[in-house]
Amino acid sequence: MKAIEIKGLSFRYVESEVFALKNVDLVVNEGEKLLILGPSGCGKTTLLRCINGLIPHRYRGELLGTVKVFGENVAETPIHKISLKVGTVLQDPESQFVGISVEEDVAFGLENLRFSREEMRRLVAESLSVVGLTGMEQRAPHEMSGGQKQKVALAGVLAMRPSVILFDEPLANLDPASADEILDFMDMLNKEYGKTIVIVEHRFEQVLEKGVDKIAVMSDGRVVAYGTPEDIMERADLLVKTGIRLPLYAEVAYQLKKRGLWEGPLPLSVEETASRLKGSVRARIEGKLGVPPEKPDRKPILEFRDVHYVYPTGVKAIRGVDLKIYPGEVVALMGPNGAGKSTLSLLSIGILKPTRGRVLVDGVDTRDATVAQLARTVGIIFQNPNHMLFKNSVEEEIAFGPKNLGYSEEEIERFVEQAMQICDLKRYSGRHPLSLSMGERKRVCIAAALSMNPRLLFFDEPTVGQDHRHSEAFMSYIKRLREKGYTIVIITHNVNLAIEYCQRAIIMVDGKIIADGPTQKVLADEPLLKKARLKPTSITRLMKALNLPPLAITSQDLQTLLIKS
Amino acid sequence: MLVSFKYIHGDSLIHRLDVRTKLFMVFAYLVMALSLLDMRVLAILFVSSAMLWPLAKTPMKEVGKLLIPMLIFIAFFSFATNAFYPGIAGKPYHIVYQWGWIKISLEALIYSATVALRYLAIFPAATVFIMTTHPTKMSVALAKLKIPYKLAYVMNIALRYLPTLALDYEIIKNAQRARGFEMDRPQGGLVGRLKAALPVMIPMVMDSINRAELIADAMDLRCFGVYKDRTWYHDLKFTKTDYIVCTILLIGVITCILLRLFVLKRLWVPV
Repeated sequence: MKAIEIKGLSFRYVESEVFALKNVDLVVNEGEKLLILGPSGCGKTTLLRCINGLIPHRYRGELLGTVKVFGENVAETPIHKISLKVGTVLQDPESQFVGISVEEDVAFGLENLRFSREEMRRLVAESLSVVGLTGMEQRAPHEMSGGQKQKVALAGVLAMRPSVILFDEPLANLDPASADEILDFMDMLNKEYGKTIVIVEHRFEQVLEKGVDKIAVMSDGRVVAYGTPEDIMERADLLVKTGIRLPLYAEVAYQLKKRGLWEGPLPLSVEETASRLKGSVRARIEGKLGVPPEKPDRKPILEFRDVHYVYPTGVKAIRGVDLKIYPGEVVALMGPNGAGKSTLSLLSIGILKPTRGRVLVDGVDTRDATVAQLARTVGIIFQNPNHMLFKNSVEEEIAFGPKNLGYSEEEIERFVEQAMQICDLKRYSGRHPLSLSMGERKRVCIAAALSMNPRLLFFDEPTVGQDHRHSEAFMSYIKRLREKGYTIVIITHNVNLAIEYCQRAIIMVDGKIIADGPTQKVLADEPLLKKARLKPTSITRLMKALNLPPLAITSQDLQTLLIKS
Repeated sequence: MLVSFKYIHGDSLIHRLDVRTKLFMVFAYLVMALSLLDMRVLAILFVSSAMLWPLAKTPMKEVGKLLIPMLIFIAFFSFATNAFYPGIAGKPYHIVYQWGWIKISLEALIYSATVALRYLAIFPAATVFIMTTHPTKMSVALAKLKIPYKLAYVMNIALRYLPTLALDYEIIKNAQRARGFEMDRPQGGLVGRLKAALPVMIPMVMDSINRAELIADAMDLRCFGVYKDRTWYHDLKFTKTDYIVCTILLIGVITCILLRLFVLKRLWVPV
């Protein structure tokens, strides 16, 4: 039976001039698992809204064509009737909690549909046991970890017993281990409970690893490709053109294929890649790898000496950290949420002062300096640009920092000019920051930090929630800063990002550094990564399967090595 | 302050009372305290009200945080608004201090003190109410008292997002501090203070607007507002204790009103 049937669907939001969806046809059969891929702004979220009834019941606009859910036309069915068939887990669980406790939140939909108290208790208990949160009924959802939040949101949807569940970028804010857990849940809901699942997600490789039945690729409001994973992989050129990142192992095969070193369709797993490569490529590549880390004889720009930090609430965030960062280094700072990574950055700029031990910035004890003084050396680029932008023009925004730090007029002008130059913002200097796109806003944030003339920059999760093209564009600016000699610390969950851009990786767990060394080695250590809720990339796993030394290198590096050997 | 003063999970006689009983309790204390201008009765009221603290096992540290600003507030309003009006409690009055056109009468001073005691008598009951009442149960109670549930739920949502807002505030403040901005050195006057808060206020407001949109989506998807009424996961039960407490309160209220009407008609002036 057809769970979802979309015919000739076009939609234009009332406030927009262009159509967000253009003549979309799509069928999802009951019990299927569909992955929708596509760059930001391709219309994925709009498509989900057309299925769950937010369009046209909440968002107005011009709607052409039909969407049917189990034969019922969504546009003609009241939204509460649709929600009994289609459940939606929204992107940011934090913003969809309405209940003060877990059980209340899960019961919310049932309350609105006037279920009796006995029925609610039964359904809430049942849903919580499905997601494994029994015993946490009284907890406050906002105090839970990212993965648990996602599960609470999921339980709230399950309580209404829908046959179809839509997930809008469910993995965006999760570490790799939590993301796998959520994917396993989807799999279970699909296989054991027969739920039809639709996932919109950028993390193609990770979703593919757990298996999907069908994939739809969207670009500019249209479905440009649809089929089984095998079908889609055959159209790798289209994926790349659309701005979708192939799985890393497939990226290797894709490049080899271009050089005539790979025949047939692209692989769908590490194992498949390994078995195909084993016969054709003989690699003896020891010795060529492992660039020894430079032994810096310079003075560290940042030094932690047995630092402890306890928050006023009593939470011990940092528990004995010794650390030296040298000028010109690019360091990945990794670890699970709550490991103390952000606290470390706040200690470095003196917003927090150590409870015990010392933090030295360029040799100066942070306890003897104000934040304004330290900001001349250390800058932090926070994750969400909207948490920082408040001026009426990009130029004013960038000048805000140096003005606070008491630089002279000429210096301010020079620094602002330089910062805009580096971040390619000159043509936007008079624009309102909030009128810019997300990627551009993020660049304004870098510029706002650069204009204070720091030498050490912290980036907090620079690419979270962004598609491949935007991430790459943003990282190219970090690359540019690296070339200009800035010292950079990147806080991230993304192992491949760390491998691509950083020479050194530091792993924190529970307020302590559990590993610190060259990225290639540290990020290949599976048991170690597991402790930090991380996973080796598929390239490391592929090397292991090929009986190569399992190193953490980029797909580019591996492919170059394979071509050479 | 707002964040520290909230529901504290616990179990006590007061926690177990029906929310409606507690609402009536606050109402009863209000009526009793406002009906009389007699420090003797108000003192008894204050003592009975303060006994609610140990009964509710209220952590006095939390009350303490609020007590001092509250005392200053009470003292200021009671005395500043009443003490300089010698005839506030009627005639005759006795001037005890005069300086130029400022006259202070004994009666006005006692009147001010009585008003202050009035506020004091209500304060413990109000704090106990807030600290022992689960916000959702409050919504349930309001709905049972025939207040439209959409209105009753507003408070629930506000309370739910208070910690989220507090967290956002912390992040935004840190983001601006990293740009050399210090909130703690406002330059002159109200306008200066407001201006100084803009770097934090603007992102806070923008963020909240965005979030409101998302919450509205989420609530729509979960059928909020589909029917004229809804059921509630939490139940309220009026027990024997509730009846007893309400009866005692009712007797108190009636006594106070009778006292006012027939015995203690005026401000009580000890001398």
